[in-house]
Amino acid sequence: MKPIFYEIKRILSSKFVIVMIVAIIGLSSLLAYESGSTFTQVSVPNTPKITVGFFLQGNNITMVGYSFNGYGSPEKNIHVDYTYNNITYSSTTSDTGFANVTFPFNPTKYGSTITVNYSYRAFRVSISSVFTYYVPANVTSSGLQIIPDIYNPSNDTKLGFLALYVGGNSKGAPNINFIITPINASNKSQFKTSYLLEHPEFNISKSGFVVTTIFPDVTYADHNYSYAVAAVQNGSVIQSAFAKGPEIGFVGTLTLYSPVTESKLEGLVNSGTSEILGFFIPILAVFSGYLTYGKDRTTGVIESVLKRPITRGGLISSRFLATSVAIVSAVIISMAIADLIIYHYFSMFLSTSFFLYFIWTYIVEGLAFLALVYVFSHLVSSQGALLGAAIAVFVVMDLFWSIIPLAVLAALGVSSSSNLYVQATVAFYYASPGGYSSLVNALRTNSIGSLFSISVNPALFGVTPALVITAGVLWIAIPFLIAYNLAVRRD
Amino acid sequence: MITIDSVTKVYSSKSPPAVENLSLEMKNGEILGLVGLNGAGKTTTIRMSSGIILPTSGSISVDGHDVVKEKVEAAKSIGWIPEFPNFEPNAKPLFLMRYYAGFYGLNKEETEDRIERLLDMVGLKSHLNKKLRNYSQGMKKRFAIAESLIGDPQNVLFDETLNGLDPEGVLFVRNLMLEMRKNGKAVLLSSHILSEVEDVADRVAIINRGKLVKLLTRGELRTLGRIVVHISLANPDEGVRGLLKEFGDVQKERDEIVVTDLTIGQEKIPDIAAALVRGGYRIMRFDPVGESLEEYFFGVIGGKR
Repeated sequence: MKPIFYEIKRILSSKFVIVMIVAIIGLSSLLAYESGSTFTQVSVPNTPKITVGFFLQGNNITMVGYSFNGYGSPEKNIHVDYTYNNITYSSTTSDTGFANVTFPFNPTKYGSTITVNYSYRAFRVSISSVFTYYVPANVTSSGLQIIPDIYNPSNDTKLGFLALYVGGNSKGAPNINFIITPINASNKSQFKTSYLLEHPEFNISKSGFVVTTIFPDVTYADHNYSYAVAAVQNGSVIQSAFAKGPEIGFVGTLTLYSPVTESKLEGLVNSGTSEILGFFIPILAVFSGYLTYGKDRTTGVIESVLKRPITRGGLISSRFLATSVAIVSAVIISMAIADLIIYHYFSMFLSTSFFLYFIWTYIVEGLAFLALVYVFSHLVSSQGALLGAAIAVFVVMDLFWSIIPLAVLAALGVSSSSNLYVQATVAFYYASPGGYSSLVNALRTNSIGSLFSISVNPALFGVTPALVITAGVLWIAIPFLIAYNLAVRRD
Repeated sequence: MITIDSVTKVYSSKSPPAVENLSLEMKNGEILGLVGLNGAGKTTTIRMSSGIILPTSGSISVDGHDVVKEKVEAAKSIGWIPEFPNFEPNAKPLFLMRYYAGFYGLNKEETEDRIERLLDMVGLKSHLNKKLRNYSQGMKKRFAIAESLIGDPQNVLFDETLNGLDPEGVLFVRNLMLEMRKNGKAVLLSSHILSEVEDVADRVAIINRGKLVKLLTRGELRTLGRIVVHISLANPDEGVRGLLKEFGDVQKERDEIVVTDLTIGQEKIPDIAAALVRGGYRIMRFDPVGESLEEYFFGVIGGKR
C-alpha cells in the first residue's frame, strides 16, 4: 500500500474522525430536512405536468409530450399512454422531458380525440392523470402552445410561461416575438391582441426552440398587474391550438406567488448548515490535526515513520493531505446531502455559485485550523501542552471569534453605526479562519455583523471576491508553510 | 557504511553540546560497539545517523548519501531499532508493517513474504491479532527489530536493544548481529551491557560527554588486559592503602581492594602479596586479572565503577 493511501485510510478509519463526519453530515441533513419540511412559503408544485402537441406525416401522427415541473424544467421517467381508437401507445419521458410516439392516424373532418394518461411514482405510490387531447381537422401540426404560471427560480414571481412549439416534422420554432404587457382584467378593450401590440412592455424574441421558458423581468412594483402575452410571427399573431381568434390571440394571466427562491434557500442553508459546519469543521480539523500529527510528534510515534525513506517535508505534507481529505469530504458530502434534501422539498438545487462558495468557505476554515495545529505541533513539546493549545485555538479563534469583535469594539466605545466599526469588524473577520464564513457572507449578502446586520458595500471595506479568495488561500498556505519549515528545519 | 564526520549536536544554547565534533565510521561486515554513560551522546549519534534529528554541524553519510540532503536514499539503507520503540498504539502489526513496506517500493508479493519472514523470525507470528498497545516492552522490541529490517537495510543501528529483552531475546539479537556481520552489513550496537559489546564488537567506540574518547580495535580489545589485582583481606585497616600505594593506584570497593595502574612489572606482582604478609595482613583472596572493558571504560572516562 502506498503510504499516502495508508494515511488516508488511517485518518478516515479513526474513531474520532468517523464520529465527527457522521455528526456533521447527520446534523446538516437534519437541518436541511427541518428547513424543507417546515418552511411554509412553499407553493411551487413539484408534481410533474405534461403538455402535448402533434404533427402529421403521411398517415401517421406523432404525439409530442413534454413533462415539466413548476419551474418549467423537464421531468424524466414519466410514463405516458396515448390511446387512439382503443389502441394504447406508450412512451416514457427522457432526460429532456419528451415522450414522443408515432402511430397510424385517420383524420376526420370533425377532428379527433386522443386520450393522454401520464403516470409517475412519488414515495413509491403510482400517481396518474388523464385528459383528452383534441386534434383539429385540417391542421398538420399543433404549432405554438403557451403554458402560464411557470415559477421563476430566481425571483419571487410566477410571471413566467413555457412555450412549446411543434411544427411539421418536429421542426424548431421560427422567429417568434412574445409581446408581454400588463392589462386591466376588467377592461375588455385591453383583451385584444392589438392592445398588446400597441403597448408592448416586454418584447422577447425566440427562435429554433421546441420548448423554452420565458420570465419577463418585472419589478416588485409590477406585482399588482395581470399580464397577457401574444406570440407574433412576422407581424401576425400565431394561432395556437388554444387560441380563440386573432383578435384576442393568446391571453394568459401571469400571476404572482411567493416561492422559495434561490436566495431564500441560501438563507436557509446559511442559517442552518452553515452553523453546523462553522462549529464542527474546526473541531474536526483541530482535533484530527492533533490526533494524527501533533500527538504522534509529541509522543515520538512519528519517528517510526520518519526513519523511512521519506523527507520531513514529505511526511508533514502527506499527513496534511490525508487529513484534508477527511475535512473536504465532510464538507462536500454534508453540503451535497443537504442540497439533495432541499431539492426534494423545493424542486430546486442551490445555485452552483452558492454551493461552491459554501464549500470553499468551510474547506478554508477546516484546512486553516488544521495548519494552525500543525504549527503548534512544532512549537510545543508535550502532548498536554499541544492539546491545550489546540483547544485554545478552537475556543478563541472559532467559538468566540464572532463575539470578540463586539466585545472589543464595545469596550473601546466604537459606535456600531460608524465606518470604524465596520472596518474593525472586517479586520477581525480577516484575522481568523473562524471569521472567514462571515467574510464570505458579507460578500454575498452585502451586510456585516453577527448579532445585528449592517448593510454595506463590502468592496468599500476591503471585501472583494479577489481579496476574500486570497485571504482563504493565505490562511491555508501561511500556517502550513510555517509548520512545513519548522518540520524541515527543526528536530 | 556510515561515515560520521565532525558532527556536533546542540539541543540548547544553555547546555553543552550533546555530541561534539564526533567522527566515526561504521564499516561493512563489522559490528561497532558504542559505549558511554547515560547522556554521553550515544542515542543522539544514532538518531542523527537515522535522520530523525538534524546535526547542528558536520555531516553523516550512509552508503555515500548525506543523511540530511539525501534523506530518502540514505534512509533506504538504514534500520534503526530504538531503545524505547514507539508505535501507533491502535495499529495491528501486519497493518503497520504493510504501511512501512510501502516506503521501500516493495511489490505486494515481496511485502507479504518479507513481513511473514520477519515476524516469524522475531517470534511474533502468533501475536498478529493484538494491537501494539497490548504488546509488552519486549514484544515491542521484537516488533521494532522486524519493522526496522523491512527494507533489508545495509546498516543496522541497535540502540540499547538488549535492555528489556529476556535471555532468549538477548541471544537472538546477538546471533542476529553476528549473522548480519557475516552477510557484510554494518552493525552498530549501543549498550550499557559492556560485556555484551565486548563479546560481539569488532571495534568499540567510547564516548563521553558527546566526544569520542577512545576507539578500540578488535586487537586492542583482545589485549585490553592490563593487569589489575583484586585483594580481599581478613583484617583490613587504613594502613593497607599506604602499604599498597607503591605498587599502583589503590581503590577500595566494598570488601575488596583493587590495585590498578601497576607501577611494577607483571613478574613482580607476588611482591604485593609478600608485602601484605609482611605487614601482618591475612590474605583471603589475591587475584591478578586482566582489566575488563568495563574497568577500562571507567578508567578512560575518569569515572568510577
